[in-house]
Amino acid sequence: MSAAVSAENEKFILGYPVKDIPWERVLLISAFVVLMIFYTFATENFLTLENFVNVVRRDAWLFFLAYAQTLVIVSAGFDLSQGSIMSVVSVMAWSAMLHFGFFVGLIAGLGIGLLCGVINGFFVGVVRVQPFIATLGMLFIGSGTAQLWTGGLQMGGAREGATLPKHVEEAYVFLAKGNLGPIPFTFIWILIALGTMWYLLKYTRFGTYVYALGGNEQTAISAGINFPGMKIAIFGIGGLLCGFAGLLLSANVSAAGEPRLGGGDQLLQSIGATIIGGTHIFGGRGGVLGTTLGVFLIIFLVNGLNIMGIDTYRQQIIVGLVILASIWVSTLREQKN
Amino acid sequence: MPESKNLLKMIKIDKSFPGVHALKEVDFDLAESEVHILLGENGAGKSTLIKILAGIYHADSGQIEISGTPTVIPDARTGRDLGISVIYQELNLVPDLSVAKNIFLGREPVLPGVMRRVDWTRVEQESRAIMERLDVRIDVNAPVRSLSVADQQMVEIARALAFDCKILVMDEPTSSLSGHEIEELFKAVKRLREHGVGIIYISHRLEEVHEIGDRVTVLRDGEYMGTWEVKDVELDFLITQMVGRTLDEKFPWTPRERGEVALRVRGLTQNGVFEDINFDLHYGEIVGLSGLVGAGRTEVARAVMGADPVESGTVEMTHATKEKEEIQKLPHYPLWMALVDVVVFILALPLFTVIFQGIYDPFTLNMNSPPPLFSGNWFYEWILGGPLYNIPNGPTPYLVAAGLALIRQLGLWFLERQYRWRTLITDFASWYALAICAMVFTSLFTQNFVLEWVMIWGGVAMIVIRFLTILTHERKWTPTLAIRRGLGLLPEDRKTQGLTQVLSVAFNTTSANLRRLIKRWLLNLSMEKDFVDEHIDQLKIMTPNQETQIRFLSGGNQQKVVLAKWLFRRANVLIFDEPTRGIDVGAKFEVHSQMLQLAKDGAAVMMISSELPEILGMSDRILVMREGRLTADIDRNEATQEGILRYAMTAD
Repeated sequence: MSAAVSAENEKFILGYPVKDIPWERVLLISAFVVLMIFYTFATENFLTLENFVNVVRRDAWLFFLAYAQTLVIVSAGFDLSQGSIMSVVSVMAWSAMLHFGFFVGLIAGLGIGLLCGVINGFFVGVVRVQPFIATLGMLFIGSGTAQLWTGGLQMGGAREGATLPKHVEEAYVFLAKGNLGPIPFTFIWILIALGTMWYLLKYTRFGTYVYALGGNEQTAISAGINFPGMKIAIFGIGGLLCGFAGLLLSANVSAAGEPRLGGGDQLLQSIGATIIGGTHIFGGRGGVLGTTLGVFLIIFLVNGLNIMGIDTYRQQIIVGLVILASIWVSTLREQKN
Repeated sequence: MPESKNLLKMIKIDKSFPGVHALKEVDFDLAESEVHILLGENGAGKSTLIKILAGIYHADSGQIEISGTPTVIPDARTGRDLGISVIYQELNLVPDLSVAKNIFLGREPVLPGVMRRVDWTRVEQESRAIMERLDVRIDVNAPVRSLSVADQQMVEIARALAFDCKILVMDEPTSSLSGHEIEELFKAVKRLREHGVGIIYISHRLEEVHEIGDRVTVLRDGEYMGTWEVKDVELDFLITQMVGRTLDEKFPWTPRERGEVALRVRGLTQNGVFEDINFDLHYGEIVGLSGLVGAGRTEVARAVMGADPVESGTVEMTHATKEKEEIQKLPHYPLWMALVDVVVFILALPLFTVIFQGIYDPFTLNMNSPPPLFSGNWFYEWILGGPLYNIPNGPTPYLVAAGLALIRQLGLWFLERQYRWRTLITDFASWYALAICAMVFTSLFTQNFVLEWVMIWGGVAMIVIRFLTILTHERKWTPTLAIRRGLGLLPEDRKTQGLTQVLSVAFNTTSANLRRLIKRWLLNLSMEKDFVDEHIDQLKIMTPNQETQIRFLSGGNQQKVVLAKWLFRRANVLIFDEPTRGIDVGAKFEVHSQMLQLAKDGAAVMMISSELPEILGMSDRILVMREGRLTADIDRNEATQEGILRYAMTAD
């Protein structure tokens, strides 16, 4: 169509051309607001600061997992191994803490996450396995390793036998549940992660290349982007974030090494939050701000249902429906364009 | 032109692939500020030569000199660093990044400091400066996705400029542009030439040779035929060089009998794309649909095919396979059938409610208290899912529902023509399915009485909605239906829309009508072989054998396979969308002959083409579109290039 035609048809809302308004984002935010209002009236203590803080503190791991997933999905990849990376990190970091103290354990946990991610990246970038397959392999390897490490049992926590020294355990729990003045530590972790990821994606070459790889891989490669290096970096950062998520979750649950820590629906929730947040499933579009909204939507959706006394299975159905609906909306928009 | 420096010299380049001698000692040279046109049929070796220049392939022997110094180009990166940029036919941009980011992709300037922040303001300013240099108005912050193809091409050119390119290769840049856009492109090319860039220009449009070129080199079957100054040569001479024979009778058109109406399109409208399209297509007739690119021709074809939704309008097709040549309208859902439907459903609703409430109610039905009526009943326990399942509301209802829905879909598929009594059954199946799903789902969240309420009033609401839909029902015109009526579309983008690239010629030929190959419930593959051989012979498809994957065939042969597919489907109304784009001259002639043969055999043919000679040479009647409207219906004898262009470009 010629330029003249489109200029005639252009409408404006609040100074924005209608076609430029990110309707998905508007819809997402309004859905969130409607949900909040609904829960506020449907339950007694949903809209309290205490509830808010508790929820964000308890589900902080999901932010990191979802940021990792966002980074990977935007670059047209897919990370299925997030859950098992969390498990491996949980048990290995616990062991390291037992023998070498808290900080070594922390570093070990992050390092193991990074290593798992880098291995993923190696297979995707250098060996050129489909990300789906490569991370599926890591999913099994990771969960197998975690179980093997502990003989399938929980380490520490409620179980008898070796336990972390008191001060180490306190430090570990403090990581997830501590406060800095009135502000919970987890909030700070989340803000740091969000800020870093946002800056990385928006203002650095790395971020641009992530989008370029997701949008048109051939173009990116022919523009001289180091494909193996980028994949290793992307999955590596993803693994690092997963590692931190694993530490947070184990600290929050029991400060124990839990070989089945990431065996639940953590992976699905992270993918769900990413997709709800408007990241395109085939890459090239999306970002961490949307994902943050997606995470908020999921955790408060579930939290509200919890308060209403609806059990986990039904919650899963509802979360599934929300994810489907959000994908449907974005497909509709795509078709219109 | 003043004597200028030699930019590039390729001497005796030789390259073989397994089984093919792609380039036989080809010479090529390029001077500064020159547009050098590279001509040749498909497979003549143009792209191989270009890929050697770009560093993607390596020559077996021969030498490349850039600005006088012998150079080896080991990979694409080096090629680009040497100032060689290639703009391929398939545009090489990241759709979601902005224009500026695309231009600087891979070489973003980074601000000093540990933050490694990219200097986006500089990127933006420099992109804008390049756009100004090209004298095009494109918002450098807009995502590339939102630009037209022509603008995207400009972005590619801008990118080449940003890379400081000295040698720019353009591979068929005008193939998807309309007249005005081509002019813009030529302006940009001329501006580049003034800046001292040497341009290698590959095209199938011979008219462009004189318009833009300085010199022209012709390749034929990997052999170097010669280089000439454009002003010294005639087009006919170039064609002779390319194909080795003169095409006196370029279009084998002969007069034919015009038959009955095959396709009748009335008032077809798609908002913002095309409006009020009316035309008839007769059997035995070739109608050319002309117009500028972007006038909505392809969209009309797709809408006629049912591939895209329309706001209003009808498509009617005569059923050629029937002896009676009656015009069939789109079938309507008969009103009496609708009434029966509604009455039966109203009568049946309480029954279902009782049945499903009784059996499936998850609140009365669990391990501890099975309804006495059903306990010990094998049907209940095994088929419907009873206390044997630990989960009171087990998977069975869903499975039943899914099964019923499946039955419905299969039923509709088999009964695509009319609603018959069987449709009633399948329709009900779908309603049951919906009812069960709704009930099971609501029962998860509600109390029993609520369920009842939802069931009954939901049923009533469904009846009302159903009745309203029935009243306004019109059978949707879908590609499935269109194909069954004998319509076939040979799409513009045959590589992705017409064929499956990684599957064999045989598969692609027969896949649209596998039913023809079925003997006793199975595909008869020997029969397939015979059929496909027949088509390969008839259409002169050049392929080593039937099992060759489509992607190994040339463009012309791929087009013939698409045609074979429709012939195998016995389509008798065919729409060719740009049938000869990107096809070499020999194959073009073949496709044209086949088209005429089809028309002679009684098929109705519609041809969309951007090439006026093709339209004039092939059509019995010419329709012209301008900005989404049909502006002319011209007879062959009265049509001239000027006339068509006037209708295509100017408002009356």
